Amino acid sequence: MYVIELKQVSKTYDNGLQAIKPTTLNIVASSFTVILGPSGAGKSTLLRMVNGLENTTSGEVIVLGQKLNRRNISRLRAKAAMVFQNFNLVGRLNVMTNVLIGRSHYNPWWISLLYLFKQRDMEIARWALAKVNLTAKAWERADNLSGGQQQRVGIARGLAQQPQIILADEPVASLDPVTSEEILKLLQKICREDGIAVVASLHQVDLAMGFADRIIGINSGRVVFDGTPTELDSDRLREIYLREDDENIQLGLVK
Amino acid sequence: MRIFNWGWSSKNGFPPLEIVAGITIIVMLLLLTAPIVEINPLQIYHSGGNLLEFLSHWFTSPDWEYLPKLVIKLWETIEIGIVATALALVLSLPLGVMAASNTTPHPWIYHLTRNFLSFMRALPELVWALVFVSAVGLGPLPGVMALTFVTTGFLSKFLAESMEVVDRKVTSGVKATGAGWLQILMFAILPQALPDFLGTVLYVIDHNIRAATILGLVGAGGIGYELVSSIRLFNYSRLVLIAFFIYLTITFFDRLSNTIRARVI
Repeated sequence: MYVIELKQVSKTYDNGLQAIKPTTLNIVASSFTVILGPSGAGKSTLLRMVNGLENTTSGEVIVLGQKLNRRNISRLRAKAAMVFQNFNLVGRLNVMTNVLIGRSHYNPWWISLLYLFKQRDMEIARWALAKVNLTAKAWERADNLSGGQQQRVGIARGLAQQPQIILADEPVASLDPVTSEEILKLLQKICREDGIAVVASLHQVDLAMGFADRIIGINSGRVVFDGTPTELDSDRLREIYLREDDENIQLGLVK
Repeated sequence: MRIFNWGWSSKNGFPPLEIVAGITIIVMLLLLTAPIVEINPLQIYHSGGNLLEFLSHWFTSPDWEYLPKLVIKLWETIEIGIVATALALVLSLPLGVMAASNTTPHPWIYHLTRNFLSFMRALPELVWALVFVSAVGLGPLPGVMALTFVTTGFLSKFLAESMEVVDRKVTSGVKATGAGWLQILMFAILPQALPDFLGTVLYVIDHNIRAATILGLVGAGGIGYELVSSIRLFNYSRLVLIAFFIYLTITFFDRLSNTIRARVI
């Protein structure tokens, strides 16, 4: 069963840049997919289109069997949680509140005026914090935490949404190598234990090889590779990181 | 261009255009406007005698019997300032939300609110006080109304502007969870904008108490009327007392707002 289906989806920005050329892709439930590609290839745009943070110019985005439209967008957003490169937490609020924000869609709008939350939601938030091993930090301000911890709060917020998909947009790009691996292990654990499909865009080829069930290579808005890590040899890598102006820069990276 | 051991970090060694233009504009403005507003150094120099004479009157013994009345009027002044700020604070929350481009329910509402807010700020408190005095009569009420009016215009605009510059990443983080408009406002935008806004509110309390001291000038309550009549009647023994107590009050609220600000931000 597919949790995400992209049918001839494309995206052209107002300045005429075609970030995504017509692309058709399916993501299987409970799978761990990594999107690789050079900077500006369209990895972020692709992920943000699935969550509806970015409009599509043409084509259909189908999430959990439903075509994304204005009416169901916030329900489908809740089911396709997003994790960001810069964590995108509300720094002044404490960790618990940040995680509870993940419950927003399930609550009536007016209780947020008083910052009220359901007891049941707090249970869910506590469960999510335990899952990312941050129970001890629940009452600290989010911006007092280290980068790795903040990303774990970001993941806990996603888990609180009780999603079927986690879209991670360069989740480890601003973290050190050891923390990066920890975060990816955490995402992998969530994928295996809770059956949540993870789609992560990454810069590090070695991490992609280590964690992905499937790797999708993107270059200039086009899928140039789609397969398992074992199928990704150096020729294929060169193709993913090929740059029209100067390919030697990228060739150095992949030997 | 080399000046001793220093130089400008531009390709041709010339100073950046912004600095040259900035200094030129400031100097030109000063030279052009000084004659119009009749800034004449000689006149200022020759009026020194008058000023000294005026200041010499201040060394009189204060009229202590006047103190109880003064305290009542001063208290009224402080109340006008605080009540007006509190009312404006409540009014500015919805108005600010409507006047910020990223939270407004509709572009039309945005433009309408913006225009209304600049109308509120268009005239100084004193002029609004005149308007309200002729509408509701003498006393503190027109003073409160005038201050509330101008302060609401100012606070709403400031809140709107603090909300417009919040980190968009945080907003998209909350939006991505499936949160609705009000939830994005409450969880992402307000927490980021409020500390800044609170600093402004503290400054405004300060400013409003100062503004309230002058409202009595047009009969809108507070100490202003006493101040002006003492000046007109050359009653320096009262004037000394009034000026000193106004100074004490303003300093007190200045310190208070600094203390609160330091704790909040």
